[in-house]
Amino acid sequence: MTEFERELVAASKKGDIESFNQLVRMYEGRVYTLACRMLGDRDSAADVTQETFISAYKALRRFRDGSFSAWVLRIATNACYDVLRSRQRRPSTSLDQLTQPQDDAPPREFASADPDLDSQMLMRELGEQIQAGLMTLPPDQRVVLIMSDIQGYSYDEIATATDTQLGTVKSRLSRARSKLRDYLKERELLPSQYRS
Amino acid sequence: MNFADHEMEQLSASLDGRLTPEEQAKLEAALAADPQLRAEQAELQQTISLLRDLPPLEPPRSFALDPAVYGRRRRWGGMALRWASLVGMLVLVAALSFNWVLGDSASDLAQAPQAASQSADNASSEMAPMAATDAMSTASGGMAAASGPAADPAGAAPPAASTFPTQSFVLEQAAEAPTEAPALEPTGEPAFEATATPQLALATNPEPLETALPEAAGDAGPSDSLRLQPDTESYSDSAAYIQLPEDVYLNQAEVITPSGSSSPGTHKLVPEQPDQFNTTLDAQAQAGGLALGWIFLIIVVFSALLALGLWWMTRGLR
Repeated sequence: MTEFERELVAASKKGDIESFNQLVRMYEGRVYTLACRMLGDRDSAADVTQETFISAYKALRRFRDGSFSAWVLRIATNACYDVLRSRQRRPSTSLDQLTQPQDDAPPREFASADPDLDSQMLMRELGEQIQAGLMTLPPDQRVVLIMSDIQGYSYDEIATATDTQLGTVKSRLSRARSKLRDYLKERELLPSQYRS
Repeated sequence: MNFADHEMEQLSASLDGRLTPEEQAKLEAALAADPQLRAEQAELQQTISLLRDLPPLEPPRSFALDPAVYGRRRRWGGMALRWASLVGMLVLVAALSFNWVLGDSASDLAQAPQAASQSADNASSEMAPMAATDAMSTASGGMAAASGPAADPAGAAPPAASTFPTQSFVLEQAAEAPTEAPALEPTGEPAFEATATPQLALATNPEPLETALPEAAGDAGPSDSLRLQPDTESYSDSAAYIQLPEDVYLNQAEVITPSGSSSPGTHKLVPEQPDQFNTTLDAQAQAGGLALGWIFLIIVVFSALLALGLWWMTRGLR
């Protein structure tokens, strides 16, 4: 945690909401990405992100020293687990909303006219497949894979965010990579396969 | 070919640079010797690359908190409300404790004068014919509360009424000798029976009395006079006081006095305190409880108004 973040945290603890909102702007992209990849649903991810920062603000006095980012991601991870548990009890929410094009994305039927758009279409389809592969992983492996390989967090930060040991992070990450590799390999989506 | 979990973990960790130099050297030696292992490592590397190349997801909106809702003033308001709630709870607890403690002591205090006056009333109205003999027995000592005022129907309440909460009862047995019976009832039985208390079936016979009250039988013996209300001087010598079990009290079997019947040794249970006494006590206790209840209600309403006022004030500060 940088000195600037430490100052923002200290000011936020005193009730300075503007300082806390600076922290929100610094980390909302990472929290939203984690929630989106974990849940596969933009609306649920937005709800979880907002809930995460509200919870963090209310519990800020309990935050001591360490990585503020890992602490916030821990709150977000727990919120994602809550959503996934509620989905298991009431499986009614669509899990593939993330794979649908956004409003500002170009329609598919007009994409083939532009080579760049073709490339974007391929990348989007690949992204959809990767997201579908992520959703096949158990949540505890999924969160480790997202934090490590998509968001670039270190083992230590992941261990803090997931409240686990380094060895557990290592083994979960290895299994998650192997399973996703198998999923992509079955669909011939690994680079050496789809480029040939 | 499937590799063991340990080998896959080593491969995965090596891609993140998390192996020690010794582990890394060992893995590289295995990779050099096994082309399948090298293929596995390449596929894992491709998978990681795909994940790292995923475009970032842009948040659809800002998740900054609204200062009007979560600002410093809101926190002050929340703190004020918390303090108000805490004070309110303390007031409630204090009021409840006050009500409980004062309720008990008030009920005790209310019993003493009431017991005295009520005993006097009962004695004068219902046991007047026995007043003369009671007075003699009172002088001999060891008398129950009701016998004191019975000697003074004018209503001078003695402090002996404080013996009422002890709930003591005395078994009184009629004299075996028929010649002593008249001293017990100088004015005849009907006046004594007019106490309006139920004549309980516990002691119409000496045998069930001994069964129900073994202590009485053991201490005084079935032939002794066991009594609380000394009616005559002749009975005071052998008077014995017996604490009856609680269930006997609950069944309203209280004092056994000579029934005055013609058969010697016959026992009869009469209450030490008339029913009107308890009724009046209950009414007074209820009145005291009602007053405390009103005080309690007022405190609750006041606390609620205080909390509402604080909430309104802090809300206006926003």
